[in-house]
Amino acid sequence: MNSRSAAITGLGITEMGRVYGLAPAEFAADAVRRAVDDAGLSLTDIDGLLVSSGISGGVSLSLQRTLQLKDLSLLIEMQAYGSTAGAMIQTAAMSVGAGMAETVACVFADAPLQPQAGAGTAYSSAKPSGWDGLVGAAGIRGANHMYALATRRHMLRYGTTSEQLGHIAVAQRQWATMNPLAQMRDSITLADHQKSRWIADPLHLLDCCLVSNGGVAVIVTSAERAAALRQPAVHVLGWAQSHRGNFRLRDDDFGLVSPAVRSGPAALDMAGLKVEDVDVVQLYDCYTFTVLLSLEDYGFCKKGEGGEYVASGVLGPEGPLKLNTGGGQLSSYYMWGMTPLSEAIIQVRGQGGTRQSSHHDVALVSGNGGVFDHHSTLILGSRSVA
Amino acid sequence: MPVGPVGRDEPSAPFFDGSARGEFLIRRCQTCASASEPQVTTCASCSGIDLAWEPACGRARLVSWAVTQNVGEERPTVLAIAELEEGPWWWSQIADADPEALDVNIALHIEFDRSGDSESVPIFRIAGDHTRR
Repeated sequence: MNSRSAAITGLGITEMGRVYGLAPAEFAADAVRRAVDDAGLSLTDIDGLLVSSGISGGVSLSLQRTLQLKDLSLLIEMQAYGSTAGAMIQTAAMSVGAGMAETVACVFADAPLQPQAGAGTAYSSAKPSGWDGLVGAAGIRGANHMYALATRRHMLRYGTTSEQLGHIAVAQRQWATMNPLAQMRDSITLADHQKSRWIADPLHLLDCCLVSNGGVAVIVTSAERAAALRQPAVHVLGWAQSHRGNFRLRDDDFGLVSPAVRSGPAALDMAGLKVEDVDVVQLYDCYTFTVLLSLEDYGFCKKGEGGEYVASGVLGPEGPLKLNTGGGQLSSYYMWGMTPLSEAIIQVRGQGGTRQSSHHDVALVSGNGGVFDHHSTLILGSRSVA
Repeated sequence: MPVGPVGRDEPSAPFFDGSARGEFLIRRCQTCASASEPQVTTCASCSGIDLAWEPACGRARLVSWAVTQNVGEERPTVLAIAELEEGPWWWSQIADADPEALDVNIALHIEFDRSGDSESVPIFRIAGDHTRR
């Protein structure tokens, strides 16, 4: 078996946000075409395809025929919720490394927003039977409620406050003002965060991610081939997953620890790096609290001190921690794990424009699925050996 | 908020038979005696699959909560995770709760409510609170 290192060579981002009239599969096809163009390749160069649907489904193996891709050596529909994007890059890197495929397109697309409906309706579930129906009938419906329960637990244990979470929302919006692709580009203040309506106390509206229609595709190939292509190569240096399988009974650390605590060190070890070596940090941020908990678990600060840490002035364009520099899911666009991944690629390439981090050799990218159930970490770099 | 309608399916049918009797059924591993929440089919402690249904005592303690204000409703709804005395966690609303009066570990007990002729749904009430809506 070969063991070639892999690199990201193409990135395609479709129109994003309240874009109507396109099905998820159409966004996916558009994203792959854009990624191939970005890399300076053609569709006939693609010999591997990994596809992933969001909440609205519809991105399937049939994308091969939509794009007229012949004789693929790798084709899988993948689903690990918010950790899928990371898992796709890992699978692509291993396939390239083993010589199974040469050029793999990884794509996610979703179109949950409808013209006449609020964003809040897109992600609420109400299956009125069995175990899920039972919890829903009692009033607990969807991610907003579960993450509110997780957030409160951290607050009760460690004294974390809503204002501290607000620092994350404000800082990411500052970054978003410099991202032409961001859906939300008007600055906000801590007071705006505190005044925004409750979604589920302790989570305000401005603690919650956007909902977006769109698609993102990433092309993975060998580092050797990437070096000869148009874009600066973004090397895939390390990766890991963690799926904790929490027991949901006495002594469960729900809301206190995320699986980043395992996937972070494992991915850094593979890359031969430490958390101090990371220049840009792109964290899955379905909620502000997800960012805070991930920072603790990756070791950017001590367990329980995330609140003080994010309020200490480290965040935002002026701060030392270059975190979610495109605005993240809170302020740019919600493409599940493709949101942090796409911004990491832009930063490592040095294509961030006015928001570009001056140091961008090593990026850490997280993916978080379920309610801190499923996790992926990627370590990306501008050089093949960090 | 009142509880919503819910139907049974095959895996949940024994649980809803229990809730109809006013019992919150948990699973008790017949191999290692560990208690699990009702939807579990493999023991988290020993991986055993011989799990019996057993009524919980109904006493629980508050682990975490969230407060929602539904449009058109006068009072907010308190959603909670509680730890049953036997160990498993459960998720439901706390009936008639004042959000300001909550604290971690306060004592709750389980009771049941239903929407029309739907299945009975377990809810929490703060222990010692005998008010009824």
